[in-house]
Amino acid sequence: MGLLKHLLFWPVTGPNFLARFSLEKVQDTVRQELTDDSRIKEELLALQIQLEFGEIDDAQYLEREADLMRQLREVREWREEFGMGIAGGPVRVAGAERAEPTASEDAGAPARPDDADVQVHLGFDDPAD
Amino acid sequence: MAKSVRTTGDDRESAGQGKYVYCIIKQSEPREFGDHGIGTASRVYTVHHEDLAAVVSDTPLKVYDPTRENVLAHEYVNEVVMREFTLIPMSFGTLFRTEGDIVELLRSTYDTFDDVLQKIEGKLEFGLKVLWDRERVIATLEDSDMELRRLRQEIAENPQGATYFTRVELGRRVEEALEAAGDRYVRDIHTALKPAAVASRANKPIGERMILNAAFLVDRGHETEFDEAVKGISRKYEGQLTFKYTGPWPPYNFVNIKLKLEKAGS
Repeated sequence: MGLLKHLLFWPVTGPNFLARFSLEKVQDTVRQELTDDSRIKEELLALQIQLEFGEIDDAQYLEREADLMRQLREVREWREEFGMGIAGGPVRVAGAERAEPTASEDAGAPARPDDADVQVHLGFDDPAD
Repeated sequence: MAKSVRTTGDDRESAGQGKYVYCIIKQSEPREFGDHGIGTASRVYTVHHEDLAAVVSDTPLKVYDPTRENVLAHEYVNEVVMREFTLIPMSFGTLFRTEGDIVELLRSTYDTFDDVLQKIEGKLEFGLKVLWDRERVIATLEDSDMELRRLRQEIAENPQGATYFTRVELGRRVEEALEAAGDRYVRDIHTALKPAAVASRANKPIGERMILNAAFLVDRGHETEFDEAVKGISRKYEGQLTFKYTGPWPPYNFVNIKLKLEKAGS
């Protein structure tokens, strides 16, 4: 909720405030906050490290984990609400089988989905940077 | 904006069963890998297309939260498979409705999977997290850095009078020295381990104490050599650094496949 909290308590300095933050921009920012799970996932990682290094016990871990899972679910639901990505349910190959040539596609082209995007990292990450 | 009413979390299920996919392997004949299926401890088996197979288990169609328990269940299956096969790990929580959907995945992504499997054949991933104790390191630094010692002493002898500037100066120098020390440790560790590895990936360190959060890809034939190198470097820095060495893992950090998937609608 970091950025959202920041916005809510932004000192109101008069007419300039509205000029700088149009309603649209506020809506964009709110949407970003609601649908971004990266901070929650970072917290989850940090929590797991705490458990791994014995800084917290299992009970403390599970309690905090349950809270983070709840937050993740909320983000998933907001993402679905905004039509952003899959909420974690069953998936299938995009455009498979049901692919019929549409007006924008080449009528003679085979209905084979695009190959996946793949990166195999076989180099060495530069240390200390 | 109205939020649709829905039950949340693990209780949200669609009607029917699906298949949870753990990884992709090269295998023509059907295989089973024990009753370790996520959530239900069901049979782990394979779905094939030509000589590629997806390792799966039956599961209710639901959203799996990435809890430690669930992630460990997923990783355990891959661990079992990894004892015999090179595998491409799937993202956590990937479910398909039918066997047909999975066959379609294998068919449409065959070339990519085949190519990646060849590239990672016989290679294992090892994780290395290194932590330090800041105060201890600072103490070590003061032994060799006269300026640091001088500033510390100045503030200690005259805490009331020590100027704001002096404190800021000390703070700045300490941070600089720490960063340089951290860089030296990381470079040294890297130098020790690089010869026995095929590739490395540096991830973002987590938390104040961590100075290195890396994954190394090692060829099976060099596993002992790599092991020895890790032991050696951790012995060298015993008392100064804590090494957390894990693995072997499937190559989570070295293979990134973005499958073109869509929601399998209701």
